[in-house]
Amino acid sequence: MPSDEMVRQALEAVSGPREAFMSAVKVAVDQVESYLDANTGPEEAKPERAASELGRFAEGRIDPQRFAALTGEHEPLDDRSQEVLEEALEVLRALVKKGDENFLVHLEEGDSLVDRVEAALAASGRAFGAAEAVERIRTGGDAQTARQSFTGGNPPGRWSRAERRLAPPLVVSVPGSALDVEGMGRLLEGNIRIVLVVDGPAPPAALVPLMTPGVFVLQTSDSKELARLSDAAGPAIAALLPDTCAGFVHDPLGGPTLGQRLTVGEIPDAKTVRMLGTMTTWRQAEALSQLAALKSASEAVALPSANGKSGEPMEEPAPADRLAAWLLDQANLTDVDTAS
Amino acid sequence: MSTCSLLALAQSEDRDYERADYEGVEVRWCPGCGDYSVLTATQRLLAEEGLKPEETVVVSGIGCSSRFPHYMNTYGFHGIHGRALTLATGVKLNRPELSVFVVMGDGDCCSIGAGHWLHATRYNIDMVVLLLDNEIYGLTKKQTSPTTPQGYKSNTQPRGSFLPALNPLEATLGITNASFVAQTAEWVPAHLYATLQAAYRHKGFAFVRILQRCPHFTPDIMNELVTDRDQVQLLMHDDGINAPGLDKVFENRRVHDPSNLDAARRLASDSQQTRLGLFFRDESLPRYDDLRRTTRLTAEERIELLNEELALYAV
Amino acid sequence: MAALSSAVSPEVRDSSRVKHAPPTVHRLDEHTVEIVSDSGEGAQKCGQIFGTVSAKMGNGVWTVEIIPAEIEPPARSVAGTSGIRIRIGSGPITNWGDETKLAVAFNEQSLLSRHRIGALADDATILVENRWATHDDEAIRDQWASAMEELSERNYTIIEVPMEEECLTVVENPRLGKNMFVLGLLAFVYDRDLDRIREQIAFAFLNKPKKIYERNVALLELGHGWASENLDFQYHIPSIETDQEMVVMNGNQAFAMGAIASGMELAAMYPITPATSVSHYLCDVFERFGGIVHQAEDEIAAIGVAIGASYSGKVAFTITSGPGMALKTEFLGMAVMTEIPLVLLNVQRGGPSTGLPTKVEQSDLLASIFGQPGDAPHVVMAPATIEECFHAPITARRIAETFRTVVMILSDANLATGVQPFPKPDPQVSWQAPMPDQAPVPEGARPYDWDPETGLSRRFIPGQPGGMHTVTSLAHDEDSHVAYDAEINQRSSRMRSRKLAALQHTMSPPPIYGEESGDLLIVGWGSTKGAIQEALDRVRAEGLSVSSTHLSFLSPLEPGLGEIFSRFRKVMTVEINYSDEPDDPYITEENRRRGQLAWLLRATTLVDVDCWTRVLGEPLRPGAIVEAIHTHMPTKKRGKRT
Ligand SMILES: Cc1ncc(C[n+]2csc(CCOP(=O)(O)OP(=O)(O)O)c2C)c(N)n1
Ligand SMILES: [Mg+2]
Repeated sequence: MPSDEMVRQALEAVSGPREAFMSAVKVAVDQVESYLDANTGPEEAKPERAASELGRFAEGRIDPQRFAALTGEHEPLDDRSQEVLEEALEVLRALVKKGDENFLVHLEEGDSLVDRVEAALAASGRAFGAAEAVERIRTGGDAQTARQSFTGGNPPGRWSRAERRLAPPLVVSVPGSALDVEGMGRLLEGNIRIVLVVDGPAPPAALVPLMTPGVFVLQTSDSKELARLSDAAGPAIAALLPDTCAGFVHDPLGGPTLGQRLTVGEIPDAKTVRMLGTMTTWRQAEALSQLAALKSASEAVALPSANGKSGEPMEEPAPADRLAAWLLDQANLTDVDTAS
Repeated sequence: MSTCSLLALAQSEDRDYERADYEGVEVRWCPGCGDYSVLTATQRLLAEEGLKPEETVVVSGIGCSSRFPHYMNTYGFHGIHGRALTLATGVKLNRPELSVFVVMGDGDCCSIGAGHWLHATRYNIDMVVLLLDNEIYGLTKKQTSPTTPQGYKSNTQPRGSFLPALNPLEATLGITNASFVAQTAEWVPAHLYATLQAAYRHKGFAFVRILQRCPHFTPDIMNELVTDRDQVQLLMHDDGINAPGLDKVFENRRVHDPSNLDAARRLASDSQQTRLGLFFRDESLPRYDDLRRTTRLTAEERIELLNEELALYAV
Repeated sequence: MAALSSAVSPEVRDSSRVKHAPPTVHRLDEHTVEIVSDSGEGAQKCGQIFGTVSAKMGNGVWTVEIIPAEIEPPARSVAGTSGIRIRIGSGPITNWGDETKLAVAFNEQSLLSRHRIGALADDATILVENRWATHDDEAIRDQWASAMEELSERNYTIIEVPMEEECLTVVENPRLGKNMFVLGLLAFVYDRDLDRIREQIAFAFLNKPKKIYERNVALLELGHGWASENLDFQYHIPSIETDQEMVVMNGNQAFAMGAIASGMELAAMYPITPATSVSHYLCDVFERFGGIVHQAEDEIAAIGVAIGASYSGKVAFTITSGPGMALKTEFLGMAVMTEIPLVLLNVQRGGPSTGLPTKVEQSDLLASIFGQPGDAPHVVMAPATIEECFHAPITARRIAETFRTVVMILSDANLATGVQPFPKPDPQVSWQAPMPDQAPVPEGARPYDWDPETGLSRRFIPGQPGGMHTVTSLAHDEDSHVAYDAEINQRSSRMRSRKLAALQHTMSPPPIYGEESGDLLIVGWGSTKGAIQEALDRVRAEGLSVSSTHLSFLSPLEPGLGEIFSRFRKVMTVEINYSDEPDDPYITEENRRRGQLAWLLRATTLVDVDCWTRVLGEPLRPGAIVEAIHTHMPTKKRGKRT
């Protein structure tokens, strides 16, 4: 059982995106409420609403009837649209009420990591769906179609680019035996932040397969390291593991060369690897040797070209860089230069 | 307050943009004005970075250069003389998710707005800040500006500017917490573009002084720099601003590591040599907009808290 | 009432340690007490706790701080006197009253300062620290003696209190505790509930170590004990029972809470007395409400930041006082020109220029309305009570948004530091602004689509697809394009002006206090309402035919004033700003500079409005207004005005 303290630290490490997501939901709640207020109910209720908006200082001084008349007529919503808006509002309110629980997932042995993570994101993703429904109705769309945007889950595959940028972060507590990242790659888009708080023996290089040019990947046994997530741009995943696992960080903002982006600590001996859950020893050993290869490549490229002594940045790549390029090619990390 | 509303997100469609998507009303600068190329480069940058016109705000003061936002098809704020940075600060504190560009003239930024320039640099709020420096007051017809070269004649100092010109790079680099300082020239489009791109990608207050010709009032001021490439030195570094092919054009080059503040200050204050490139960049410095983010409350949450607060004063 | 000593002279008897019979209890409707000291001795904290506890016990309360301009003026100086006045009553108290009936002084020099400006009633009772009489320093002993001499001009009852000597039995540094000792004295004199005081001390020192609380309570009890043994009088001011939940705070705090209640989320300010305490309070709590207080580099930047924030979302606000208002001028014009909503609080102080930073004045009225070069119509309103300080920003926010304009709230130093209980507000969702709608802008909609009748239009904010436009401080047309055509300027000026008329169209004439017609109508605005109405009660009891009306909106003015004025033989404003006296040298009917509201009313109603104004650096006293009414009553000879 990962300690509550570690989960708390993991939540803290994603406080930025957590607050951004919740704020956006809360702003939307207020907006939908006020839209409903303004566009439902009889025309005669408008002065009362104006009076209550104007507050007590205006009492006896500003005539709400006249004030309301200034701001023009509204076209009341049809019942069906109102109903759907209210449902959408409920979805948003429920997310507000759920608070931090929106960002927590707890896995048991035998659970599929990718399925649970996707399900959690799909649940939070209903917020995006609800907002879409509201917009559709406000721009004169059909209420029935609008409703479909938030009934059921709304998995990340359906999110727009802007929605991905506001992706809700997740803190996943997971037993080491369930730390199978198969399929996770496709969830790492936009600004997603996933922190895996791992308990018990775990595959030593579990996150290695997730390293692609634009993804921030961190494996560590030191919870303080999680703070680095807040500096990442783009998708990021981190695992807090027992110290028998490899420690490394791949930071796309580190610089253009592999040496600048990848830092690898001690790599455990592949012989210590045991079968865990669905992860065979062979697969775990493969991940370890890939990490080892990347480590030696990164150390080879960390040449002093960055200190400017060469002075001419446009020259041919050094042999070490060419070696790195080949290795990267093998590791599916070909276009490191384009990530930003 | 921290962010946009989900409702705003819901309308945003995924699409690509072209330069033409960012063109505003018909441009009315003088023929040959250096501001044109800055406008073009900015529009190109926005298209290439895929910035949504509705999520981009261009803020300016008053001056020829400050007409800039009208010529962009984004949200724009053509404010008052010298105060653009204060408006931009308000926009960013309230809506951190918007991309903000600030365009100022040399009188706008370095004279009437100098106080805000100093403080905005220190706030280090994430925005791109362009100083369009033609070394003269353009709109008001040729008065001396703080950056007018010493001895240069104008309508207010007809026997020549009395004092040595204020150096905006040196000044900015002297301000605590300055995080990005670069210089480029409007007549070197490749370098201009690369500089704008680096400034946009910088997380923090990206200050770019753009040398800008005013063919009407100061046609001669930058002549030599334009015609004699050797008069301009290009700053080079892997971490600097690297426009493809420029190293072939500029013979006069120098390696400068933009993480070295002392060296940056030395190079910037050298009045013998005009330099283009990235003088300084440090993304690790604190950002006021980051530090001031708060989480929004719903109206109901606010009432609950307010009632708790009022209870402390109950009698 | 009588103290132990009946003699009032420098040789006042030391009253300590004399056990006596139970005190004489005086039952009164109201009473005024002042606590004065050197700056930093805590007189204000003592008075605030006393006032709050009195409010909690059901009394009407008004407290006013006496603030020197310097932080640490020289000790024992007349000019450096710091302190607080508390007026408590059985019914609601709406102003600081006339003269003080009881004064507690930590030294004789601060007492002298109150004496010299006539703050003490002729029959006032005075409790004064007596250590100065026997001080080692001869100069101080001399000062004491000559002060006592000067004080003997009046019929004060002076009681010496060995404050320091007593305090030293509990603490080492009596400077840090005299105020709690004095609180104990007052608790006895006014028969206050000690438990409630302890509670309030705990709240006041919430974030301090427990032993500070304990020390203060020990001093409180010491003072109470000393008083019960040595004083032979008590004042009982029966309290009013009310079921209504009440809160007690000063006007600046009330404004801050009201601003929060309005849902605004960004305040930008630059420190300036007496407005700063709004920000102090907000800085403490605003972030929890999702808000930001930005302390800008100057007032220009502060309003710029507020406008930038308003432009991009919810209405924001800026907080200042006179000198800061002056700096904001150009941006105010711009906000009006670009029709960006904004709320501005001006806590007025004495002017011009740096003036009297800590003192009340109402001299910014005309500058607020007309001070922006170019024609810049906008809304100006003025709360008259602490309660209205809370509710004003809510209304202001709504008007600013609907009318896309600047709304200024004129408060003043009297409301800023005055403390008064008022019914606990019941915050509403409807008071709060949601983030403006960000729906895509319909094809063809224009950023200044002025309704030709009302001048109103709907703004677009960044983020709204299809709404891209550049707001500009230059003259512009409906599309916000810079206007090169002169006719557009005429039209857009008309539209901006029309908004004020449209707002006035929604307003009702101000209510009349007193008879609907009569001999004299007093017109006031802002913080003077309580004092004016109290004065009116007195002169009406004398049988004079005087009514008053109090304006809450100054721009646009509330409607119907001309008609109201026509029902009185004479109309006169009462204000805290400067006006020439009619019989001063060189002053004629034509060149007389009148009170600012009088000026405005004359211009708008063409009625010959007179004025009585004072700039004494203090709130108006009801008694002084009574006198002014006596001298300004229209002579019977004149016929009723038509
Ligand atoms: C408060 C104020 N003072 C003065 C002016 C007049 N003014 C307008 S632009 C300008 C200077 C413009 O020079 P610069 O900032 O260098 O911009 P440029 O026109 O050269 O692009 C001045 C003094 C003004 N608009 N507002
Ligand atoms: Mg210029």
